[in-house]
Amino acid sequence: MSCNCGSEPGVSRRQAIGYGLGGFLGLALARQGAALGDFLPAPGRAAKAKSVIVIWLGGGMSQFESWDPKVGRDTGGPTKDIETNVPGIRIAEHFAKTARVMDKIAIVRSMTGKEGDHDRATYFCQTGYVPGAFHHPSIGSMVAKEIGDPNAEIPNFVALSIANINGAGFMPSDYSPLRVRPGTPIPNAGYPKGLTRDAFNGRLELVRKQDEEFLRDYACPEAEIHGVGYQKADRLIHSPLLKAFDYKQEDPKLIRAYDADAPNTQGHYYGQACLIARRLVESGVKFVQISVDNLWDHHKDVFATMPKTAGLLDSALSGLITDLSNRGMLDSTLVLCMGEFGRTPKINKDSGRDHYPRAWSLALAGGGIQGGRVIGATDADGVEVAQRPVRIPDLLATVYTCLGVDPLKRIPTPIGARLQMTDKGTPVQELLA
Amino acid sequence: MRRFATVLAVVLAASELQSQEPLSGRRLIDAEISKKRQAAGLPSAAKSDDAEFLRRVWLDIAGTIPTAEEAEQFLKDPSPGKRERLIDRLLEGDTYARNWSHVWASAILGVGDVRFQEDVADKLPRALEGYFARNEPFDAFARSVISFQTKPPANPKEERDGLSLFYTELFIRQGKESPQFLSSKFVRVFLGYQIQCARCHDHPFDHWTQEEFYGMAAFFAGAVHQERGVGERAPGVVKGLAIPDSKAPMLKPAFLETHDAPEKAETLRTAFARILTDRSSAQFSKSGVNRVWATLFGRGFVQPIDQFKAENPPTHPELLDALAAEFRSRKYDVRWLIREICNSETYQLTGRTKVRDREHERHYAAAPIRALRPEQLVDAMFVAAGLDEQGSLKRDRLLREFRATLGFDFGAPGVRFQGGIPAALLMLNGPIVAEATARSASGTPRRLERILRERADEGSRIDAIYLSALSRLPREEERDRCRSYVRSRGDAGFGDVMAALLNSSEFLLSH
Repeated sequence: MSCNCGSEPGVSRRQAIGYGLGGFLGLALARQGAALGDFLPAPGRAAKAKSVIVIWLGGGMSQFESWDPKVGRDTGGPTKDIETNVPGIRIAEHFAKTARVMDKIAIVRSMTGKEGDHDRATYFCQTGYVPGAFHHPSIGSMVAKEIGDPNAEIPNFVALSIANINGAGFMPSDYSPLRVRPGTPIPNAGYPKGLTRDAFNGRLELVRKQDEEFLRDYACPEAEIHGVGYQKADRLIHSPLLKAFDYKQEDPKLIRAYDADAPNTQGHYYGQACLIARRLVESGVKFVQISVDNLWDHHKDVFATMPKTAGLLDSALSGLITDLSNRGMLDSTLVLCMGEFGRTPKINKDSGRDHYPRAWSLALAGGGIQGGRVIGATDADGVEVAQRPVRIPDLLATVYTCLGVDPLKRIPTPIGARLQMTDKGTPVQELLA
Repeated sequence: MRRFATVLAVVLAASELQSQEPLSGRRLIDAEISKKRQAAGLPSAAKSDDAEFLRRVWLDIAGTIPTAEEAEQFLKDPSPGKRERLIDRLLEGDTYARNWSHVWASAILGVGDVRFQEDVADKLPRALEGYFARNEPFDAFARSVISFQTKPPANPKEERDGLSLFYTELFIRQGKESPQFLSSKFVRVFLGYQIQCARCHDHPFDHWTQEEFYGMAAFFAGAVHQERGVGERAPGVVKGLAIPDSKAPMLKPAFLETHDAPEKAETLRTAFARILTDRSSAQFSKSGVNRVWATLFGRGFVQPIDQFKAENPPTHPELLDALAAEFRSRKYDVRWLIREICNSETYQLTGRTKVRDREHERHYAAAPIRALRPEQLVDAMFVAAGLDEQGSLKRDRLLREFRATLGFDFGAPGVRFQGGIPAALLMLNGPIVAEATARSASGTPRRLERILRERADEGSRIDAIYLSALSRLPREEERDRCRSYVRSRGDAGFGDVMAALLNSSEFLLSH
């Protein structure tokens, strides 16, 4: 069993405190860390990915009804499979559009883990650690820290969701996700009713003067950090880059290709979110995570529900990959489509499937991932992983490797131990282009 | 006045020395802290001014700030002993229990292990409030929480209490690992040890073994998830706990360090609580003192506060031991402990300083800077803006929004202030500032109408706004600056001044 405590002593307290101090010191340490990290990518393999888009399938999508159908077996249910544009790779019938871009997608059919509770598994998949002595930073926050632009107008990590997103954990809030639900404004970005830009600026100026005196008298870095947060907030809400959130500026044909004109009911906004994600990446955002509540938690009627739910994802995912590819952005943008676990081979009495972390599937594309491949396999009934097991730390290590970040780099934690970026993760070489 | 106080302190200290009585409480604190500070060659800051002290002690004891009237009254009061009287009054006041129930609820919910649902964070403080309102001895409080059993409801529609919700949530999240989590949690909160690393292996850098870990977890093997909360198996029914994925024999309950086991007639959790507060009481008391101290100073003698271990010795071991012994001998009187700390000169130093580094912090060379916890911030904003908790803005909803935006552990001891964009936007444009500066049809900020009506000149209006928000009068330069600002903006400008003060570092940092 993996340990979540970090197992190396001796990081100095000063370094640990550095995280808490955030702002300047945190960034200074981050830079220092990068310089000392002495990570050299394998010869001949330069980092390809510059950004990551995660399409999070909250609730846990059924692998039997998506990437690992078992036609003709009891565990496979009535779900049929279809050909893809890669000979020999067959996926479930609900993903007809995705099947046509399979040459750009890699499927892992051998994900395996132990966490079967939504929250714990989500935490584990997004941080690489089980819950422990402190809040671990999520991969989005790690990426923001490792490759983000400290002066970016839009934060380096944007969550197009309000649920199922882990944040910066013990790291400074500079690396927290900006949480925006597609179709709604950034929380509190608008002025209070009746306030003018001029009065808003007036308030900011009064705060700045007030803080200047406080900083002088009390010599506390917090006042400085406070000021930086306000400057960043001011720049964000007035940034011209915010138009990235307005996907309606796109060509109506493209909007339809993503199925982004589908009614935005019950949070089914994959199309909009994927289109916004692409626009954000174009604006320099490093990590976008899309999530729709627990949409895929199909304990009931999985066969009746999947055609519609999967249909929305099918359009959004294939639309995104096609669009990125047409724009020449696919090589530098890693797309990761996954939930926190898969679903049981056994079909329950409600025609549903329950949580199953033991053998499940996910899909990746772009950013240095070799498309048109299937990694690993389950046995005939999809009960066990039969070939090439892949653990979450290995998956995260693969993502870091694509980004040119050393997956074994250690970072200081609040309790003094040093934590690996991934818990002994080894990149899945077969996934890399 | 300041010189007089110093002379008095010296005389008192001298007389104590002569009488050879052991120092206790506040005098002990000051003697030990200044002895070490001097040995380190560090100077001490001056005594806080009344306004600094007023705001700090209100936030620490009552969890909010005084109204403008209360602030003005205190600042004008020339009588000696007014600080001590204020401390007593706040400890007996309405919001003391609410504030400290939040402190302990945050400790129990903790950071890291489980992400509790919002309703647990809402309701757990309410479930704990009574213990602090009654000034229940700290050991009795710990025993109640640890051995808590959900009672059948008087009527089926009765809302579930916060402790039942807490246990339920933990059972749902952790399933069969609940005993391990409950034991790790209570060991952290009440003994200040981190034992959870030993869950998977004998930890190489800590002295807990896996056997000890499961010996403690076994005390929680009798806790059962019931429909409405938590129950407990009868004494003797559950014998121990098995190590998952291991062929090792079932481990029997055995308390850390003392090796005590349950008695025949005891339920397992009752046994845990008894041993904790009896045979293990030296550490229990130290951990409790450390947490209260850390809440009042932003850092514990042992920091991180739940990492008592040989490699992480206390900054002031003698003081911690002596305070812990006195806390115990005073029957774990929590109000006594807070009263002594708040009356110490150490607590009452000014926060104004030129240097703020780790050495100065460790030796309490000046008052620490601490971020307000989300509930302190919301409550202080309500008081500053004159908003009613029963009004259109609901405190519970706001607390959720502030906790979600600022982070659950915002303002916890040892967690540094972080700021950030969502927090800045919530403070600048969020519902409280919007309501505090909302304008009536005539364009004047509604919440400031009384100040504008009662006070004719700009300077005195600005004074009132500073008293409301910062519990002090503005300095000359501040008054001039704000005056010229409102002159160019009309009455709405007063709203901007209020908004700016609510957003200032001085407002959201205790200093």
